[in-house]
Amino acid sequence: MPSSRQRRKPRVVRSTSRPSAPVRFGSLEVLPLATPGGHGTGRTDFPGGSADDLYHSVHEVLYRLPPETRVFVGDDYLPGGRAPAHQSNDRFLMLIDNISLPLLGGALIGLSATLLLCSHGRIAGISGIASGLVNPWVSRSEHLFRFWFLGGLVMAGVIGFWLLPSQFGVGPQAATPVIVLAGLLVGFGSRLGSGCTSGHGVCGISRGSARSLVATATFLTTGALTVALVHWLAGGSS
Amino acid sequence: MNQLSLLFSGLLFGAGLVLSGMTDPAKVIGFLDVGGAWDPSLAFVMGGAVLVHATGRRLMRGARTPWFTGDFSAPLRTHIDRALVIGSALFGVGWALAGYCPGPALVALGSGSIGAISFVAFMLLGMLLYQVMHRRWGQRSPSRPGSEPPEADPLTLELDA
Repeated sequence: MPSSRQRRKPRVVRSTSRPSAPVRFGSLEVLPLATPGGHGTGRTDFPGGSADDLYHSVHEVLYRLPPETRVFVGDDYLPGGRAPAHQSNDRFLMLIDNISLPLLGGALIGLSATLLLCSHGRIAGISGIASGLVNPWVSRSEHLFRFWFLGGLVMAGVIGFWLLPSQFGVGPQAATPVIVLAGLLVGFGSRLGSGCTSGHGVCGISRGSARSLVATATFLTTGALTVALVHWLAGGSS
Repeated sequence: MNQLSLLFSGLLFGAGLVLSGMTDPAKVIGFLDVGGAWDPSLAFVMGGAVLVHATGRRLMRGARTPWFTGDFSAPLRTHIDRALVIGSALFGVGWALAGYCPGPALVALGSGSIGAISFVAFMLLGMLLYQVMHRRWGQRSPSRPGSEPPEADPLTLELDA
């Protein structure tokens, strides 16, 4: 559905659907955005409709537009207009809404890391634990340790996908060569840097480790730079 | 009990990753998109986890030994060296490209996602590559002689964060 903006240079809004090129109408610039999932008014019971896709379209595409954006829905106009059904400029409420689950999830991760330390004296660094799968030099008891913990992790994914499939993303994933390169970089980099988001970002920082603080600052920085570069290369130059 | 406790820890960790949204690559990339349509919500995952874990560590200060094993493992290295920075930098690039880090990718295996399966396969390959290189060249040539404690055997090295 098209969205028009005035007095504002078009900034390409990141969405999992590829943004199209802006279209000009006189002094207006129109940027078509794909927001699949529903019929104009939000019904998802028509052929091709999907409540998941529509939720994603609304939350990840429409709600990310700047507050001054005017959205014209494909149909359903009343003579004389219609009162807005959602004010997307209420950023504070949206943030509260968006942080409760991450906070709860984070608390569970912290609890798990504490339990693992209490029970086995081990640091819940996932990359370290997972690397044992391809390390032929570790002992049998080490393999058992990894097997049970990683088994629980994958089992959580099975149950989680069954109960909350939308938490796994509904958009298309990165292209295969990108996934391959990303996997290699994450695997190699986490071993060279002796940790990942969990080992450094959670356990190390909780311990007050300077090494982990440096590692976390480093991967957050290169991560942000990479996303910026990818978006710039994808044609989102603003 | 031993194994059940491990399984439960893994389940708890995975449940945390699912609930927080870390298993959604688009959300992770949105979190790293500081210069664009930044979605800061995932910062609260790390915030919540650090808050709980730091408190948990405080509470268990008196503990002598873990329940099921002989000793607490502690990271061996304290120096901030080139390997730490370069490794973390590469890690960040990969994390941003796919939107997966190791934990969420392993959890997402449970969803049967082809992207997660291929990511984990190549992540393990990258780890194997490091381990082979480290065994072949790493042990005899420390980057700055004298600046690091002697290298430990590969098993204890795995205990790093």
